[in-house]
Amino acid sequence: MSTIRIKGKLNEIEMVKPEDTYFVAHYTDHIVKGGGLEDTGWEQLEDGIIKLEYHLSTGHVIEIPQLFEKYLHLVEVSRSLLDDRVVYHFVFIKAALGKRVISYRISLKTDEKAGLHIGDIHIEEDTDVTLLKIPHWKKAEVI
Amino acid sequence: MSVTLLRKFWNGSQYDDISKIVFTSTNIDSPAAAGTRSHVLPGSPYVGTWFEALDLQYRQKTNQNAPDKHECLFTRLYLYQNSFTFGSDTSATVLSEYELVTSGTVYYDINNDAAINNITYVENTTLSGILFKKYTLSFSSSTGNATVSGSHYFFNQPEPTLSGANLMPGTLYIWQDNKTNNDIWAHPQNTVIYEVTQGEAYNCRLTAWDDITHTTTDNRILQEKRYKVTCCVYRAGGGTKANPTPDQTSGAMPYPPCIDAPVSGNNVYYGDFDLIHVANGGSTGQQLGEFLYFLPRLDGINDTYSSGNYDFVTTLHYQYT
Repeated sequence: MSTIRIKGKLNEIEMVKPEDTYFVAHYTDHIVKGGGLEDTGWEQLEDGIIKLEYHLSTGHVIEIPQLFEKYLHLVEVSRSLLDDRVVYHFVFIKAALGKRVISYRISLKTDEKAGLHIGDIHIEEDTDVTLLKIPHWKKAEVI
Repeated sequence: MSVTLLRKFWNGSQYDDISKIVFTSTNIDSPAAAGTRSHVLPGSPYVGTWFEALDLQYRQKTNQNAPDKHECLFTRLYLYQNSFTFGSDTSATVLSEYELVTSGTVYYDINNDAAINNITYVENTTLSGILFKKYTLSFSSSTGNATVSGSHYFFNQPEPTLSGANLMPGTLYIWQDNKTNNDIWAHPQNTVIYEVTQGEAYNCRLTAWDDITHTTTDNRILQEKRYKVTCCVYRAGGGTKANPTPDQTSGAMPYPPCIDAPVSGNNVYYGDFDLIHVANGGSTGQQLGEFLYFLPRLDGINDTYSSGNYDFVTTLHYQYT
């Protein structure tokens, strides 16, 4: 199975397998594969990314356009107080050009009630001015 | 890097891992074996609040009454003058809903550092039916150039209707270093407390959902917004997790507190804020955190609720790299 099914009292969702969902960062002379959704490995990446992809456990591969100066990777989860269970909702790839940031939101779950499906991509400009202060942006290779 | 968030509660002698928040009868000795539930006795307050670990459960509150004090670690003050500009103004007249400790040094943080070296009580005053105490604050220092005026943020609470020719609804928050845990409604020893011990959690949001999918809020308690929380996010300047002392540096209050606000899915929630681990005591060598604590209650559960279990799930949403 390439997904995990979570059945609640009132809803049921399907979620990617976190260990089989990861980024792939291409450089001029090597490729770095992320460590999954729990310990992603993003902070250990070097600058100089040529191409950035996201591989989901379902086989979806999402390629981020090579138009930007730097990238930031965020995983959005919710953690239950009850049993510390984690639901993985989205991966965000923030892509910056100057002071403008485009957000690529990749759905990690299928939730029919919310109209979401694994692999759905939502793109919008992100106006959160505090984003650029996060210290884990990775620069793209200047081509 | 993954982020590590601990979630604990104080069991009277140490912090314990929290498994569940339980609202059940107070007709049970505390602590009791985890999983103990009982019917409410006739004439008793409906339910108490219990924090349950894996082995034992501990009673925190004997009823679901609303907070009798709108205070957590941070005390909210209202400016009682046209404006206050950090870096240049050295005194301010403020209103407080609660008595301030007027001796010792207190610290405040909202956007800039400010050390207050004197608090003088002036008089009581009533505005729009609300009784306030008026104080004069003298600042030994303040940095930056932000001007406090205009609307303030107070999560999901209606702003008191303040009027008066000299009043601007600007808000300051102070953390008084000689107020104990027992002086405030919600503190690190009677709440569920999150602590980030590694990494950074961005855009944190505390809320509640029907079930383990964290997607719907069809539960009647959530629909009617009866699950309410008092929350505080802070970085301590020293002390211990159970007895933190104020931080004197900028950023001690990453997000304003909320008092008795409902949470329900993505409709109403406490957030969004960041929780950043303070490594090696931070900039002073003694800082701790960052922490989020919350104290929950059920508001207005009455006889229209038929007997039975009403389960729902409290969650913390966040992002990490």
